[in-house]
Amino acid sequence: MKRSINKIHVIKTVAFLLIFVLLLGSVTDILQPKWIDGTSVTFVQENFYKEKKNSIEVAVLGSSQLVYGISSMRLLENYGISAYSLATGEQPVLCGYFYLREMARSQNIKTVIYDVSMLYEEEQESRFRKTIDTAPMSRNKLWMILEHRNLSFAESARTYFFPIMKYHSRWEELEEMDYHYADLNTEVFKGNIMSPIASQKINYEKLCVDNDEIDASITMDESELHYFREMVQYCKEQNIELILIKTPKTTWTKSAMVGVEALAEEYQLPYMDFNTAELLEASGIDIEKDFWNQDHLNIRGAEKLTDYMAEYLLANGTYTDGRNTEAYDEEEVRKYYIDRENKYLQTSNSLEDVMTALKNDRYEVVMQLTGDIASHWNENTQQLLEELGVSVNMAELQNAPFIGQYKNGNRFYEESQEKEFTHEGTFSNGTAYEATSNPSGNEMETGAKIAGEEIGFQKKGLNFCVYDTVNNKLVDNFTLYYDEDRGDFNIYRYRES
Amino acid sequence: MEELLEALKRANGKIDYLSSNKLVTDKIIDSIDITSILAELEETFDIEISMEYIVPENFDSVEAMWEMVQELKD
Amino acid sequence: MTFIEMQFFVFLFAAAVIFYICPVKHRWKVLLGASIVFYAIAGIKYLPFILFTSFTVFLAGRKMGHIYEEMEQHLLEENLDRKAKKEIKEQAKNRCKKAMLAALLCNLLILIIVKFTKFAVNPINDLLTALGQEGNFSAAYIIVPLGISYYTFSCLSYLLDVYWKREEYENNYARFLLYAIYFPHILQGPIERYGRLGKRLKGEFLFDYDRVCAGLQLMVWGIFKKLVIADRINLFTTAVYEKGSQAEGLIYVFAFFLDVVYIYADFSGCMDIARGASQIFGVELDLNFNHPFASKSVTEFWRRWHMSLGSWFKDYVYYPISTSKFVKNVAKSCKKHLPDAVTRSIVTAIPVTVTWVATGLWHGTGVTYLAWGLYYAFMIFMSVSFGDLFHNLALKLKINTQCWSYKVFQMVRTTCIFAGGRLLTRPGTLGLSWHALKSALLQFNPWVLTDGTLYEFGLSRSNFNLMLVTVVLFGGISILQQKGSVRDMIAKQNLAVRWGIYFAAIFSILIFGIYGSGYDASSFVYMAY
Repeated sequence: MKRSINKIHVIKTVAFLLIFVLLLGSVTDILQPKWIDGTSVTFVQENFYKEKKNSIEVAVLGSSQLVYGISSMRLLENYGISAYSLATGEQPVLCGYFYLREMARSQNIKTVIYDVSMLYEEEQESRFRKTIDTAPMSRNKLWMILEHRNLSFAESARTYFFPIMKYHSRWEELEEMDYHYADLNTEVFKGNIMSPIASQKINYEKLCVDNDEIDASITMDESELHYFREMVQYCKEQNIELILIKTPKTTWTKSAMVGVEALAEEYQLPYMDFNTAELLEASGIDIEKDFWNQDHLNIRGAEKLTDYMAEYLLANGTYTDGRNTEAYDEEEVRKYYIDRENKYLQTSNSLEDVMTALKNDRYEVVMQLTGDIASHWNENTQQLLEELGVSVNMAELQNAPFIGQYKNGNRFYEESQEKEFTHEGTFSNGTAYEATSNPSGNEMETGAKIAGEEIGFQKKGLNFCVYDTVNNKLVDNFTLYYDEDRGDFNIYRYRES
Repeated sequence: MEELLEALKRANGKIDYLSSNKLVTDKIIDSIDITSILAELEETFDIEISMEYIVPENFDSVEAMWEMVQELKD
Repeated sequence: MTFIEMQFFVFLFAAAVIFYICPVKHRWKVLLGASIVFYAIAGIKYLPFILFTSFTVFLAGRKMGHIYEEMEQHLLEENLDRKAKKEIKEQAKNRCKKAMLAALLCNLLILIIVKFTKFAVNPINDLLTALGQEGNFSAAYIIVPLGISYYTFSCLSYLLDVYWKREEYENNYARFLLYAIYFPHILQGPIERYGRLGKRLKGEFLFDYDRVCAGLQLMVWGIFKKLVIADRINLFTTAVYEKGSQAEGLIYVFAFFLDVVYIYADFSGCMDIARGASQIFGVELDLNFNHPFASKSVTEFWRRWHMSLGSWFKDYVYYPISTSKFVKNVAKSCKKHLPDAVTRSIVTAIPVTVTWVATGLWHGTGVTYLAWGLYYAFMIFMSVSFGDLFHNLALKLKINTQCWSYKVFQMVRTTCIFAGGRLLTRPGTLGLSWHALKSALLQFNPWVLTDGTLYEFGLSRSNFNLMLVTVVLFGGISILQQKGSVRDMIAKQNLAVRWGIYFAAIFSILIFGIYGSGYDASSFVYMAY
């Protein structure tokens, strides 16, 4: 009978515990939800920790306003400013502050661009969870958990150290994505995601706060304000310049702006509010083209805001040119440009912009006539089409069934028939497609097929499918149609609501 | 001894009391049987079996029961 | 603190470390200290109760012990005749009786008051208002000390054992307190006798790596049974028995039998955690279950289910009543007028009824538990009185009572009787029980098995299926256990297999256990901000 502990026992016990810890880590990773849609907290964070040390000088923080509202890659490519965005959706100030501390730990942060939306928001546990549960354990994370515990809705501390206790019931909804999701990381560049949607429904009066009435009941959330003050203090101690901005959104109010102005005054911080006529004009942000939805900019708007901020940054500070450093990742830049081109195409809501975007050898277009286009056709639109390679005159065609295939001025196929017809063709890279032209049909649902997959348009007119023959992907599909309300041709893209 | 076996048979005729010396421990006789046995023994031998004596050891075998009865007769 | 809280594991680890650091002969004191700490954490206001009960019983036991010692001395010294000896014995017994009764009655009274006061809430409030005071006495004021049913019964067993001279009295209060308050068995038993547990607590506590591991493995199995099997089934049965649930017919049938598995998994799971924890310290606790569903009769069932309770009631209620003067007098008068068989039935019925009603009320207070007690009294009475009749009938009908399928029939029959008992107490009111039974018997709705209705009672489809899988696993392991210790079987395998099984068990608990506040996916949906 063994009466005392001997070496083998100790080794066994230690080995068992080690394996247990490893397994626990893997199992927790699988069970934990991956927040990779929306503002992609998971990818944004993971990508950050892969960045080279001391390669970042500007931190972008705040809510989704800045995830979509600024392009850190553009700051780098066009201005040499090395920025990274750890803004995330509905980011509580404490989380932003945490990210700042993390960034300062491994990078040379000189400046912070901070969007102030969340100062007026009540906090919710789920928003904290996304940050806390995704972040790797560190001294700062420990600090954040302890701070967070002060909030009334904070959950039991052990669930932050052992997230499996909270998420284990997800076992019944696990998907492939839970096991490997790295290859889904295609849109996040230096923490920013550019939006490919252009809304045409932004109302200038709602957006611009200059003429708003003051509503005294709008006040900042105490807890958010508390951590904001701490963050300001931290920046002062670390000699980091803190710049406050407010990206344009229709739900921002003058009262809110006035409140932030007071804070900025108190701490002598620069504050740029893009909801004012002054800055909207100065930045050139166009309500017709540059907004994704009521509260966020799309890629066009983000780049304009980026340009404005870049000028300010360069005028007020010096930055190491990130384009000449070791940290410069050419592969990443290459993917960034492809993503950018695609999104400029996807946000083109006039035929002009579309044609500009289509001047690209990657994009091959299949066109099919499914509705009335001849009635209001004019020379201008005809000329634009011809830039793509179209040789048929739409006015003369008189809405006869028509299908064409083009690339950047080159014509691969063009046919018009008396009656409705279907064409089966191939793109120049061999991918098969099928298109049907039936302008007099009653079907609202018009479609095409590429590589066997159905594509819907939900509108009658001149349908375009744009296919990337280099990367084998459908990049865009839209309908050119005559918009009675506007008295001009417009681009329609079907969005599921 | 004869008397004892007869009394036991009256309590529960289906049990072979001589087959084991672990009648209680092996659950050959259960608590209901014991109650009947107690009643029969008390009546047959004019004794009072108090709670101190109602332990498995005293009922596990016919011999043990006989010893207990003798002791109580005194 | 319950057995499945993190607090408990931290506590257990700390206690074990201190225990084994301590020199061997003082280790029992660590157990005592740990048990007192455990009890205090559960509720420091409960501590006086257990101290009072254990101390009064200890004092009574010591007094009786002294009296008996004196008596023995007396009997040896002088030359006495039989009559004198008898007198001395009677005197001693009477003196002891006083001490015993004092300790017995005041502690039983405490137990009864604590358990039944909630029924007095309304009358007391009425009285208070009648006296012009505010009637806001509520059940919240009643203190129910942790494990009071268990430790009271343990202490009383010692008291009576000393009184009936079956046990030596304990001279050291600290030792006795340890027996009463020993933390692994204070929550849910088993109810141990002083002669067994008391002795084991005086053993030599030596470290044994294999034994500690075995104890941990048993705890893991117990936690698995409770968190993965039992708590999952409970979600289903709770939803089925809820007021206003849409359950009908076969759903109730499912609930009846799953509920049986539930109570077995839950209770035996807790027992395993207790036994496993105790094994870490080298103290063996008695088994409380011995494959109860292999029982072929109700009486056998109660020798295999919650064995320590059945045995307690047998030794301290059933036998005393059936050998009491009252019952003997009844027997005498019956014998004069009635046939023997009838007399025997009546004479059996009295202690059986009293014992079972008491057992029912020990489990819980309320009409449902009273009904439960009477139900079992009736079942056992039937089994005892007519068991032979049925057996002879079966033989006459040429039914083979020795074959395997008949034995299965007996086991199923016993399980059904047990399910019937559960049906009296689980739903919450007798009205609900009746409704459930009626629906199960009168409504035949086999379509619920395939049209998805099964998944509308607290468990999603995946969870329901997982529940069935774990129930089958549980059954399989129970059957395997009849061949011998499963832990030993596993221990004989190679390291990779052993550790594979241990990790599988632990992670099954972490992943499939019903614990934690859960995760509401909808609250995480990103509202573009």
